[in-house]
Amino acid sequence: MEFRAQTLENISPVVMVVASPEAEAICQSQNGLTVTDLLRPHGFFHHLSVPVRTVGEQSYRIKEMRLRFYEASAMYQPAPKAADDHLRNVLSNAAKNVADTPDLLAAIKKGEVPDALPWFKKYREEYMRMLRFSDNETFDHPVACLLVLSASEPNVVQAAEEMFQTMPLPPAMRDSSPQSPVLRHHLLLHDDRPQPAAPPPDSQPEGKLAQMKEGLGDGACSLVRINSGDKQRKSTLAGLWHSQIRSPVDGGGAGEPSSKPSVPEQGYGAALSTSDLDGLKRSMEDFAVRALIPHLEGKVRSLSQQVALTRKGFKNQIKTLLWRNRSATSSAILSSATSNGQAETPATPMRTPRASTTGVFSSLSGSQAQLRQLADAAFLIQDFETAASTLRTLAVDYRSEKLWHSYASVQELLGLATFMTGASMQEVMTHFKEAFQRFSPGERDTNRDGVRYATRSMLLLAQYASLHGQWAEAHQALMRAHLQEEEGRAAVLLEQAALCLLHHQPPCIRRFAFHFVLAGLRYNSCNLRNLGRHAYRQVVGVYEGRQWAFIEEHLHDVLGKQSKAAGDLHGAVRHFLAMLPCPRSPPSWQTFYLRQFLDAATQLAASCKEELGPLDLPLPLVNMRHPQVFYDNQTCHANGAARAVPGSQWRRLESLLLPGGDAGPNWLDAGSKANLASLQNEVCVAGEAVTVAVQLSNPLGIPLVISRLSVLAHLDPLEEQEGSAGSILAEEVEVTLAAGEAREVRLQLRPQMAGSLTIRGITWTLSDIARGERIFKLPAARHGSRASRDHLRQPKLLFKVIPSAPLLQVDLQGLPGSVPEGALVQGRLHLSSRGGPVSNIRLLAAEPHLLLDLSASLANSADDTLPSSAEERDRTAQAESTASFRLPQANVPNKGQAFITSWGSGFSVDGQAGACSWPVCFHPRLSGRLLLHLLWYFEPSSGEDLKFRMLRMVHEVEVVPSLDCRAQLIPAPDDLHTYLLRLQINSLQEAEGLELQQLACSSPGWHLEPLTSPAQADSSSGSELPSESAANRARSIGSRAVRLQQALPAKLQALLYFRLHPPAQPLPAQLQPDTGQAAEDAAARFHLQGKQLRLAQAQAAHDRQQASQPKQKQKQKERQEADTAVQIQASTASSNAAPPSSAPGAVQASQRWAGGAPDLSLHWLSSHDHLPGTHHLYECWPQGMAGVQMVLRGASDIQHNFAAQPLCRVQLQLSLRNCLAAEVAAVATFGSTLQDEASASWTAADGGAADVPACHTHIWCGRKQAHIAALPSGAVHHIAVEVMLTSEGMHELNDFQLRWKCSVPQLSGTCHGKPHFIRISSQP
Amino acid sequence: MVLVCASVVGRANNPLYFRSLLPGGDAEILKFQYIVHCALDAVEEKVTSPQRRSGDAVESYLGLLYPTEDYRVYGYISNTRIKLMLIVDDHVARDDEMRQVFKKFHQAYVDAASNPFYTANTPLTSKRFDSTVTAKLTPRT
Repeated sequence: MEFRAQTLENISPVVMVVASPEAEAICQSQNGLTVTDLLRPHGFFHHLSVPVRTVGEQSYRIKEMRLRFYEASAMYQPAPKAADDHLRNVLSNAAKNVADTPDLLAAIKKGEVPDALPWFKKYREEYMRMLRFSDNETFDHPVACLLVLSASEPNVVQAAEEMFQTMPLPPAMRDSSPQSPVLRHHLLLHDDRPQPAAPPPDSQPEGKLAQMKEGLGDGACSLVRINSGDKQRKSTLAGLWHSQIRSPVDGGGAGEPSSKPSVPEQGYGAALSTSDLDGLKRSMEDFAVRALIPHLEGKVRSLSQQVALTRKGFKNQIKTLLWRNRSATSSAILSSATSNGQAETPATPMRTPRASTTGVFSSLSGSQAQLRQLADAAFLIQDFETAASTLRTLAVDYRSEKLWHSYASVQELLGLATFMTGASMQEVMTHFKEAFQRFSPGERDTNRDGVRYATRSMLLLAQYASLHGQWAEAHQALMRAHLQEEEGRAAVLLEQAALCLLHHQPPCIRRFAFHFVLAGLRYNSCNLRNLGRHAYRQVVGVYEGRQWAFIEEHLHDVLGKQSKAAGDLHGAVRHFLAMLPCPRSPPSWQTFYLRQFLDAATQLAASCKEELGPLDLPLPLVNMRHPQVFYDNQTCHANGAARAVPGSQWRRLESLLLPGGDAGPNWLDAGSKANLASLQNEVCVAGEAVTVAVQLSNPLGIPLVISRLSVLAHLDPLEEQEGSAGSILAEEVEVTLAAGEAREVRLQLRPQMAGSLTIRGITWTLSDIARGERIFKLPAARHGSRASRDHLRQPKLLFKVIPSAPLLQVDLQGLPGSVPEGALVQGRLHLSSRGGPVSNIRLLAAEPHLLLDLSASLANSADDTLPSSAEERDRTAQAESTASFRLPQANVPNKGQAFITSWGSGFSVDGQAGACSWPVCFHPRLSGRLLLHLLWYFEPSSGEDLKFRMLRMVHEVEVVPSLDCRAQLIPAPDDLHTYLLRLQINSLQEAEGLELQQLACSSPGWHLEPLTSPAQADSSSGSELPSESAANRARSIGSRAVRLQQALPAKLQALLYFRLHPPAQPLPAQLQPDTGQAAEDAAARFHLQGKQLRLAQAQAAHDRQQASQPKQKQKQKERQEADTAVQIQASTASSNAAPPSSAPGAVQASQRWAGGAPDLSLHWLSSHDHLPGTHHLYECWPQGMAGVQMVLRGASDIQHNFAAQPLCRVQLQLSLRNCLAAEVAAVATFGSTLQDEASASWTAADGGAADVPACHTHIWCGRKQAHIAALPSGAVHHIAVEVMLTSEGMHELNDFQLRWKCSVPQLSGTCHGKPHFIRISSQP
Repeated sequence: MVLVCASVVGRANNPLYFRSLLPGGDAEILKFQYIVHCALDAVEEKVTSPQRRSGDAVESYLGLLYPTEDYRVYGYISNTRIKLMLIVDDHVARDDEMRQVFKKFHQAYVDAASNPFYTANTPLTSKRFDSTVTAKLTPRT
């Protein structure tokens, strides 16, 4: 409603209704309405056009008018306490319907903020009503008196006169001056119900009306017929009175009697017909137009003339001044008497006039009272200009006399009048503010009346401002008003002020929330808890999730307790639940909050008499966005470590094991995109576990007990299996999370039949009381290439469950968690199956550390784990060991190799009873954390969906370092054929010692011999095998192993020396390595395996290099490679470095080397647990070896008589050996003329005498150079030389050298002779 | 001028630091949290529609934000949209005086936020910052 319309409704002419008991009976008995209530809806006339001329020359027209009808007995203001109680009741009634109020935060988001809360409008109307009939205002005084009589009265004229004389007058009329008589009008009420007997003609209502007109005047009487409707029907007109009928105040007053008739069953106005109401309306309109408006017009003119007489002229001004002084004194006294509240409402206010209620208008003939009457009358007749000007004059008077209460009242009405005249908003608001300020009592004043009127002026201002979009002014006005009010009255003002903040741009939501919290606090303090709860509940969302923990906890705490007290256990649980995640609160609070919540939940469960539904429990914290799901289908995992291995690594291994090399469906298999999508769906197998890993964390400082933690899932069976129940078995887990603990929990569920499985979330029970449930919320897919990667990485929660299929079960026993490097550990492999037989089993081991001996299964047939029946034993015997290795595909970068063991198609395992076992040997050759990747292929006997399955296994072993074994091989200085081996063994064990057992050489043709020279290292000792020493000595060249029997304590070093005899002739390549002896035991097999791996790696490296080179350069590269190979040999020989086995061309190099490089294995035994172990040394290349070896031999200790013969002739022999695989030409040069070597001709013939140098103690005799034109590979050539010695003593012969050259390939080198010493002693 | 509460509010209007300088305990903190939260509306209002002329420099000091019956809230906003707010138990706090106090407060915050182990826009738990606030900002002026 617009402010103008509301003003016209609130300040409109008042008609005092005095009804006879008979008339009341006619109305109430049939309709449940008093006569006043019956008239009220018909006091609004909106199609008038009544010309009015009041004080000015200009007339105006009244187009609409309202009349207010009040019972004469109720026209007084109720006592302040009764009014306050009534307002409180209004709020209490509003609190009953508080649940229907809209959510304000949601309204803010929609931009549909309501202007006021539902109960505020009602509260405001009632507040205004409680302040009607004020002593300071005359617009609530009756303008007319309506006497209502029953048409059944025998003498209506007499009855009307008696009623008028004896009627109870309202306080405002008792002292009314004769200058302003009240208009009197008569209404004859006829009960139009059919009467049992026809009334006599003289008692017809028309006759009574004629009598009445004759006796009381023609225009002062009217007849209304009522009750012509059907009372038995439900009233269709009840809505007319719903907004008009007010609840009575205790003690009456405020326009309503103290009691009202009860509402009839058929509703208000059940016996009224439309014609009744039309007649009533016509009658009231006639009364208003013909009687009331002219009366009011005349009253205004009369008052205006009186004012003119008393206010104009010097004489009147003097009189006014004098009168003012007198009146000020008396008014002050009267005002104080009124304001102290001593004026109690009388029990029978009409019969006992109150002296104090006269107020400033005790003498209506007073000048200021006349002014006020004039202003109010002018306002009532809508002459707002006259009203405003009169009020301004009056305000000056009151202000000068400091009658602030009256002044404030004038200002308030002046605000309304100026608004009606179209003044500026600022002016209107200034009047209201002035009224508030003057109404407001001082700091020491406890005048309640002043506060009430001050609040009314602010309510008017707030309404005016809000209706004109001035929300800030409205908010300010309401805030100023609430500061003076108390309890619920202040709270409702605060609420409305807060609502004004939401109309700001942008909305001040935080201030709104704070005001609502304060309002809630005030509601709670005055025991209006429903409204308090409503206020808190509206704003709790403002603080949620923004870390204002104290506020949030406070609101939820209050709301929870109030809800619990009000019996709303659901609400209590909800609010106590919201208090649980309080990590910053001390543990004692956390414990209290948890207990509080659990108590409420227990009570709620007890009240529901059934299990409490799942709650959105905030404890523990669960990562619902990133669950991990593990499941098996065609690919199975034996343990968690197998799942941790990247899938790409497994797929690479699977490509080696699968027959077709393809692990999954492709678009050719699918036929269409839809089928391909279904093929690529996540598939799991009925009866097998699907594991969901979720992250739980406890944010509190107290432990949390979580029980019945399980996965929420749903299984839609296939169509043909519909109707089957209990299709999912979900494992329930109990977890206790310590304070601040975060943990990953793995939950299993097993679908029991084929269908479609959906994993929804998890459920749990907190402290065995409250059941919680959370649904997984995976992050939404994004667009773009990165989004597709994210999508692939996301866990899938929708599965296709296929029928169950047999599964191979593998148990690898005997593998310890930690072993020393090189140890040989014996274990056992058990194979069984679940769900049916499996066949065609194959094993792929990615690492060469495990050796499976299938042939040993027959020897262990007596073992319990082996098949007992003869048939099964025969079937087991069909298992074939095809232990071999196969290189991965060339385009797959793979550092390791794959070892495949196949049991053959005829072998199968069926259940636990048909389990088989085989010995396995584990031999780690690298230290560190070792992962054994085992991949099993098997074919289930049943299950059409799975033709084969793969089982992934990973065993983790910690390999600790045991020995650091280094071999150094050098050519023997005194021999062209043998080598000296220096073995340096460092113990890397921390605490345990080792016992060195034996050193073996596995290379074919090589022989090993210990060196027993006392010059060996101090801590080392080499000894032959004692039991076989005789045999070894007898065939010392042919020995392949040397037994060592030497203890090596922890962290110590041993040095061992041996002589190695290479094979006499280079062996053909196909004989390398010697597998005949090596396959005797596991260590030898591992040694052989290692050798094969080295060869394979070298070959693979060579192949990769060739594949990477362009084809047009292939031949050139091959040629260069061949040359490079030999050059490497030559260069390494001259630089004393072993050829790297991994270098390009190493294969060719080893083939062109005459003797090759020996492979050694060192066997040891752990002294603590007697665990055997082996270290392997492959390809020990000799160091310091030239392409052609030479050694000078001859006598070294000679006696000679220089006196008899001045020169001593010594015969020597220079032996040469071609160590290369190609034929070489060599030139040996003797003597000090080495500088001429450059000029020496490779083709010069032998001969030529040597010049005898005079300065040397020895002289080479005979040839200076010796040429060997062709020395075959491995061949030995001897050159006889002589040297002449000239004196006694020790002679060193080192001035000889050998230059050699190889034609194919082009190689050459120089070898300086090693010194040869000759001692000459004099012969006696 | 008596400072009764100091707070730092993050960019998302989340409290990073809250310190009551009165010995009231949690009830005081609750009251001050309400007041500071309420004053954030005034901060937004001042930031979005500053009351300055076109030539004036942008000032971090926001002045009086929200008066209550007993307290007054003053504000300061940094270039990184961190709000520093002080609640004063006095009705006559001069602006130049408040500016000085806020500069000290801001410097203390900058020192604390410069810690390489501090993640921006997370609660400030530095004891040094706390002691600085209680020592330097308590009323000696």
